[in-house]
Amino acid sequence: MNKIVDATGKLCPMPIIMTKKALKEIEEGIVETLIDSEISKENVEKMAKEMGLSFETAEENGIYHVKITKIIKSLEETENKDEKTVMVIASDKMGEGSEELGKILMKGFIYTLTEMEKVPSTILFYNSGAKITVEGSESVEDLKVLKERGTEILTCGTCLNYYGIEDKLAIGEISNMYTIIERQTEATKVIRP
Amino acid sequence: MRSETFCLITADSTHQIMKLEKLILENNIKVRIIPVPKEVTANCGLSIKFDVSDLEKIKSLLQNDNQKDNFDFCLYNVEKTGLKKQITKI
Repeated sequence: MNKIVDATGKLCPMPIIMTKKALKEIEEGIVETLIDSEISKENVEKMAKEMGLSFETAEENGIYHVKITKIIKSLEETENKDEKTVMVIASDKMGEGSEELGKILMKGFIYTLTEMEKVPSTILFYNSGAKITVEGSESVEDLKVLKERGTEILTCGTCLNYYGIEDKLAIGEISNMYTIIERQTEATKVIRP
Repeated sequence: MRSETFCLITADSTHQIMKLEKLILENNIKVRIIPVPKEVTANCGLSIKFDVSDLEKIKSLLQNDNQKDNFDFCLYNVEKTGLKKQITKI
C-alpha cells in the first residue's frame, strides 16, 4: 500500500510526525511526503535512516518528494542484527552429579540446539568442554549443523593442548582467552548449561 | 531444506535407555541417545535414535532383551523436514 503525505506549509516537527504516522499505518509499501522546507526534508530523511528504511528524494518546483519504502523484515534479519547469544560449554558434562548422566545430558543439549529455530551466534568450548569439538565426539555432527546455520564454534587452544588433543579438532576454530572474553562481553546473553 | 528419517526407542526409565544403548552398541549397530522430542511426550526423557535400516535388527534385540528384563518400550518413526517433525508409532 502506498500513501501520500502532504506536509507543505507545515512547520517542523509536523512533517516528521505525519510521515511516521503514515509509515505506522501501512504494513508494507511507499510513503511519499511532500515538503517545502529543506530542514524538514533532511529531518525526514534522517528519521528514515534511523528506522533502517531506504528512501529517495526528488525535487519538483521547490517541493521535495521524499519516498520512503517500508518492507517487512524477515525475523531472521532483525534477530541476527541485534541478538548475540553466546553459549559457554565449560565442561563435557551438564550439571553436577553422575558423570555418565552429565555426559549424556550435554550431548542431548547440543543435539537439541540444532532443533531450535534460533541458533546461538557463538559457542565457546573450554576445559573438558574442549573434548566435545574433537574427533570421536558424538556431537561433531550436530556442531556441523549449527555451523552451517551460522554459529561460530570456538575451542580454547590451551585446553586442547592440555588434554593432548590439539591435532584432533574436528569442527570450528581454535581460540584464545582474548576472544573468549570478547565474545562474552559483547554478548546480549550468555548461557552456561 | 534438510530432511531426515529415523527411528526412536523410548522407555520408562533413563537407566533402561542407557542399558539399551550399551546393548545395541555391543551388537555393532550405530545409535545415539537424544532427548525425547516434545512431540512424543512433554516429560523429560531420553530416547535412542537409530537408522531406519537397523529397525529389524533392533526389534529382535529388544525382544530378546525384553524377555529377560520385562520392561516397556515404544518405537517411533520420525520424519523430519527442516525443524518440523512427523512422528508415528511403529
